[in-house]
Amino acid sequence: MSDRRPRPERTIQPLAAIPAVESELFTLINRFCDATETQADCSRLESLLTDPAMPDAIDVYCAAMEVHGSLRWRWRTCQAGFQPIGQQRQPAPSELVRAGSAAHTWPTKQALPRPAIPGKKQAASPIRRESLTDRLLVWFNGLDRPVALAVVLQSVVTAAAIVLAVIGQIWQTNETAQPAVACGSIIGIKNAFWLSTDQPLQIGDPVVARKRLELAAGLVEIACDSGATVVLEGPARFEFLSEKTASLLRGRLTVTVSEASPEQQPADSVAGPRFTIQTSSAVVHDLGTRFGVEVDAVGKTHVHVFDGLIECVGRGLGNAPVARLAAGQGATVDQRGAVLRLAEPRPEPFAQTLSSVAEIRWDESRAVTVYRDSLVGAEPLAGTVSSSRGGSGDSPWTAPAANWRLTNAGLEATSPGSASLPFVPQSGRVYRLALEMTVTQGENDWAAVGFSGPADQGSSILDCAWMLQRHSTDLDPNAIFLGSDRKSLRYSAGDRTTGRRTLVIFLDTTRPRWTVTFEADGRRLKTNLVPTAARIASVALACNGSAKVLFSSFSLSFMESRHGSRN
Amino acid sequence: MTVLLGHQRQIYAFIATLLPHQIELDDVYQQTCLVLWQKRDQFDPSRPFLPWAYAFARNEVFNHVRREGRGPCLSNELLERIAMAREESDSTASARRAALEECVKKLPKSHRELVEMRYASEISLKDLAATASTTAAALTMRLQRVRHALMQCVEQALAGGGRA
Repeated sequence: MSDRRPRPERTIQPLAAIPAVESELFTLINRFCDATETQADCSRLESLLTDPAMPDAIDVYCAAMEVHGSLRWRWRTCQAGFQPIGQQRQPAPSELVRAGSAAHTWPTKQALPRPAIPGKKQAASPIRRESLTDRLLVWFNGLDRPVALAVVLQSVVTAAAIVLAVIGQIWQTNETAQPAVACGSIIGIKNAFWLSTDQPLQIGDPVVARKRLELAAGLVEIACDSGATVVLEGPARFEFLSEKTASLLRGRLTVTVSEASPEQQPADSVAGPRFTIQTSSAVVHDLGTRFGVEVDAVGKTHVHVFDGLIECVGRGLGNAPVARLAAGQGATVDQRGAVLRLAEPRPEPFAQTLSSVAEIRWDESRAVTVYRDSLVGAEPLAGTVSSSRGGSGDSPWTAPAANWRLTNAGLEATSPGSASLPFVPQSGRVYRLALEMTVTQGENDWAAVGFSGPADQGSSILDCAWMLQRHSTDLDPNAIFLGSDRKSLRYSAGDRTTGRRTLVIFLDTTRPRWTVTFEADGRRLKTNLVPTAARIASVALACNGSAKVLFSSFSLSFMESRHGSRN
Repeated sequence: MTVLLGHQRQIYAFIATLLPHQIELDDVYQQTCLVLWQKRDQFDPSRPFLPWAYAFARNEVFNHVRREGRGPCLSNELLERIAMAREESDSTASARRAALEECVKKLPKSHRELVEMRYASEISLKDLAATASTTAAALTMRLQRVRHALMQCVEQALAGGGRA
C-alpha cells in the first residue's frame, strides 16, 4: 500500500526549485489539470513522480495542484477574492431587485437590468458589454497560433453557444458590485444539506441570479418569479441565469410551468419557451407544462416530459440536433450534444412536487390580538364592531346589508359576497387568522377566508392569500383549495373533509418574501409565497354562488418575529 | 457544521490534488461534504478537524475512482503518497494560498482573463479552444505559462517572508 514513512514537520518553505515552464514534469502536470492528458502522459507522470532521482517531484506536483485547486475554488464559489463560503457577502433584502420578464438564453443587458445603487457610481450596461467584447478580443489576439479561415468559420458556427456561455461566466465573475437579481424564492425544503451558503436557506428566502446553489442532499422547491416551479434534488449544482433561464450543472430537477392567465399570456406566445434549462450538453425549452432534467456524473443530460411539450437542443459541434418531446417521452443527450430518443423513458427518478410546510412556532400565550369576534348575535353584521360582542377590535365590519346576519349559532351568510375588516400587516411578525365555518348548502360552491385587498363587499373573491371550503366533493374530489392569489398558485390539499372546519392561515412577514401557511383542523397543509404584487388591506370572509355558510369564532392575532419565526 | 464550513476550501484543495479534473473534483467534493455532515457526530472536537476530514476525502476519491470503473491516471499507491505529502504540507498550504491571492492580483490583464475563463466555466478546454479558434494544446501551453508564473510568484513570496 502506501509509503507511510514519517516526514519532518515543515515550516513555511519555498520549493527548492520550480522546474522550467516547459519541463516534462510541469507539462504533464498541466495536462492533468486541464484533462487533456493521454494514457501515455499518465504513465510518464507516474514514473516521474516516483523517480528516486527526483525527490521533489511530488512537492512540485502538490504545489502546482494547490494553485490549480485554489484557482478553481476562487472562481467556482466566489465572485471576488479568496473568500471562504462562510464569509461570502449575502445580498441585503434592499438589494434584491426583480429581473425583467423577457426570456433570454443567456444573461444580456435586457434580461439582467442593473439598477443604480444609491451613492455608488455604476457603469452603464453598453460600456459593460463593450468591455466584455474587448476582453475576448484581447484574449483572442493574444493567442499565438495563426488560424486558417476554414477553422475560424467552423469554430464560429459550432461554438457560438460556448462563446455565450463563456460570456455568461465572465459576467458572473464581475458581479460583485451589482445588486443581486432575485429570480425566485424557496417554497419547499425537505432534508436539505446546503454547501453553497453559510446559513441554510429557508422557505421564503430569495434565490438570486448567478449565485450557484450547491445542494448535497435533500429536496428544495423554488417558485420562480416567471411562474415556473423547480424542484431540485440533491446532490445538485444549479443556478439561475435569469428569471426564465437556469443552468443545471449536475443533478436532477423537475420544472412545472403554470398555465398563464389570459392577461398574462400574449396572443402570439403559444410557440415561445416559457422556461429554459441549460446543461453542458443540452438546452431544454419548455413549451408545455412539466418536465424533468438530469445531468449525470459523466455529463450526459437526461430529459423526461410529464405533461405538455418540450424542445431539446443538443449543444454539440455542427448543426445542433433538435428533438421535440411530448408527454411520456424522454431523451438522452450525450456529452457531444447528440440527442437520442429513449424507447423506454424512466420518469420515476424525478421528484415532481414537494408540498412543504414552513415550521411555525405559534405560542398563544405571547400572541397579541388584533380582532376577536365570536360572530354570535342577533343583528346584521354590517357596521357592527367585535368589541360590542365581548370581543376585540373597534373597526366596523364591512359586509352585505342583507343575508349576512348574526345568530346564536354564528354568522349566517346566505348570499354571495364578502365581509371584511381593515388590516395592513407589518414586517417582522407572524399573523394567525382563524375561523370556524360550516358550508351547509351549495354543492360545489364554497366559502373562503383570507387576506385580501381593500374591502369589496360585493365580491366573493379574496385576492391575496386565502383558502376555501366546498360544500361537497361531488364535482371536485378536493373539498379544500389553498391559494396565494386568484389567478395562480392554487393548490389542492387533497382534503375530502366537509362539514364543520377550523381553518387557519399564518402570514409570516419575517423573511424577505412573505409566506402563508394553511392549516385545516389543526393539520398544516402547505406553505405558499404571497405574490409580490399583493397589497393586503383587509381580512375577509366570503361565500360564492349558492353556498350557505355558518361562520363563527373569527380571530386575528400576531407574534413578533422573535417568538414566531421559524428555525 | 461551522467547522466544516470554515474548512471547505482546504478540503476542496486537498481533493483537487488527487482529482484535478473539474467535474469529478466538484462531485467528489460535494459527496465528501455530505459524508462529513452525516458523520459529524463522530468528530472529536478536541482533535484537529482537517486530518479527520482528509481521511474521508481520501476515501471518497478512491470510491469515485473505483465507481468510475476506468483506469485512473495515477495509481492508487501514488495517490496515497501524494495525499500524505499534501496533508503533511498543510501548514504551508494556507501561506501558499494567501500568497497566491496576491499573485493573482499581479497577473497581467490578459493572463488573468485567461485564467478566469478557464476556471469560471464548466466548459472543457477543447471547447474553450474552439471558441478562441485555437487548439487545446496551444491553450494548455498558455495556461501552463500562467500557472508557472503564479507558482514562481508564490515561491518568491514565501522566500521573502510572505511578501508577494
